[in-house]
Amino acid sequence: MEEKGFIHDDSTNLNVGDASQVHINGSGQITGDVRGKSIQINGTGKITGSVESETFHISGTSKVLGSVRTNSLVCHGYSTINGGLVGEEVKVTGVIQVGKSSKIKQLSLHGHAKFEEDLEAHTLYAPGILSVQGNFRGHQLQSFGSLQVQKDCEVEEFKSRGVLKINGLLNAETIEIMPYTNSKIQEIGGQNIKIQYPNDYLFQTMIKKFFDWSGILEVDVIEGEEIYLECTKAKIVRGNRITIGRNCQIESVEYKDSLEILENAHVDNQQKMND
Amino acid sequence: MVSRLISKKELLKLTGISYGQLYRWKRKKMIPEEWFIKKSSYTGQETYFPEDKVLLRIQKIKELKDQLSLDDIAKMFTKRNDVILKITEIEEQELLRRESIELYHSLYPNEETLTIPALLSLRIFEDLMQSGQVTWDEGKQMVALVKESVTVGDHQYLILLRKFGVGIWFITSAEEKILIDPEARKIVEIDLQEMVDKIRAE
Repeated sequence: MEEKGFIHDDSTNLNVGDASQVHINGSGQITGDVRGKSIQINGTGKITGSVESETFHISGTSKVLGSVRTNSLVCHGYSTINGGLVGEEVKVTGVIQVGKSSKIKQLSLHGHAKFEEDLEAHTLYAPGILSVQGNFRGHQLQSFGSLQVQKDCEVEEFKSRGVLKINGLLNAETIEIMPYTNSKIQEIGGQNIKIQYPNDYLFQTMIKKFFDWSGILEVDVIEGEEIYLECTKAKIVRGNRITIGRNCQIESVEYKDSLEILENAHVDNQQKMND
Repeated sequence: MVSRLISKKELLKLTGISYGQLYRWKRKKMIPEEWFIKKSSYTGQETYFPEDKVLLRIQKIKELKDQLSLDDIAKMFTKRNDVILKITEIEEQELLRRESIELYHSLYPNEETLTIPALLSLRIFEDLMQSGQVTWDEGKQMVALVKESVTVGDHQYLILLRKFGVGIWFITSAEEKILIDPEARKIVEIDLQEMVDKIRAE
């Protein structure tokens, strides 16, 4: 359908239905669902139904009362979606808030995103702030800012530099964490687990020099096969090959093959497990 | 029947698997979330498992893991109760006879969708009615039982016992052995897993 719907200025409600292109320039409201090839909001837009389109671009303020299903969503402005978000590629440089469970193939987040329920993202690249009120599931997660998950976080590859708060279980094949400030995870489980002091350039030159401050990661239980820890406070660490490095405070370590305790590490109890 | 609980530490010791494997299998949903039972302890929380189920599952995974990829094994165990079919879709694809759909309507007048166990129950109903082994009332009881109690992904059997003309339906896991009153007769025994696989193939 080669229909074009342009909505300028203070237009009132419009039922668009199937249009191939919908643009809101200025401010406008669409009552009902919108289906189309490309939907663009420059300015302020409100859609009272759901959105289904190949591309959905927001560079102002937008509010969708239904759900959004799209191949590509780009949000430069401020956007609220009351329903769920299903998308192949989602890029956020502004602020986005999503109300229901969402599934995204590739999420890149340079801004701020808040998901009120579960989020499934195959790959997440986030030099921004992400907060998930439910569970997070995915394949590859890279966070360089702040990550907060209210329930469990399950991925294959987990990498974080920044601030972390996971109130459930962090379960991944490989886990690499560099806490910039105090972080908290209830439980960690996986194959290779590495928690260490930030060693990257920015941290060394800027933050450490001027603030002389780095974070501690607090965990109740850490269980894995290969475990290397620095700047970690934990009640129990269980694994096959364990190294406890500087500034660790561990109440109890249970190991199978080997345990190495480096300088400036504190371990209250250690026990070798036999088969 | 409450199954005994086993702690995570005991489980690893008994089965010889590692933390890495356990967490990997959990991620792949090869060991269901509900089997991880949290109980508070001095570390905050400890995890326990229903002993019989988890030991059996791990033994199965160990047997299969040399022949199949983890994803393939995961598919075998994944629960599919959540798959929901619209009754209109079922009519279109002729997955069920009209009489069965009418029966379902009369039993659950407010439902417009079917779960996999519900579809399974109606399919069994059709087979049984055709063979004439069970009465209409027994069939209806069976539909209610299978719809509510079957978990797709668990290997289960459906059994009908009859004694002095009174029939009772059972669902039992494949591993369980049941001993039957010699005066009772086993009228029906159906491998539910097999039926589900058949339906899925369609």
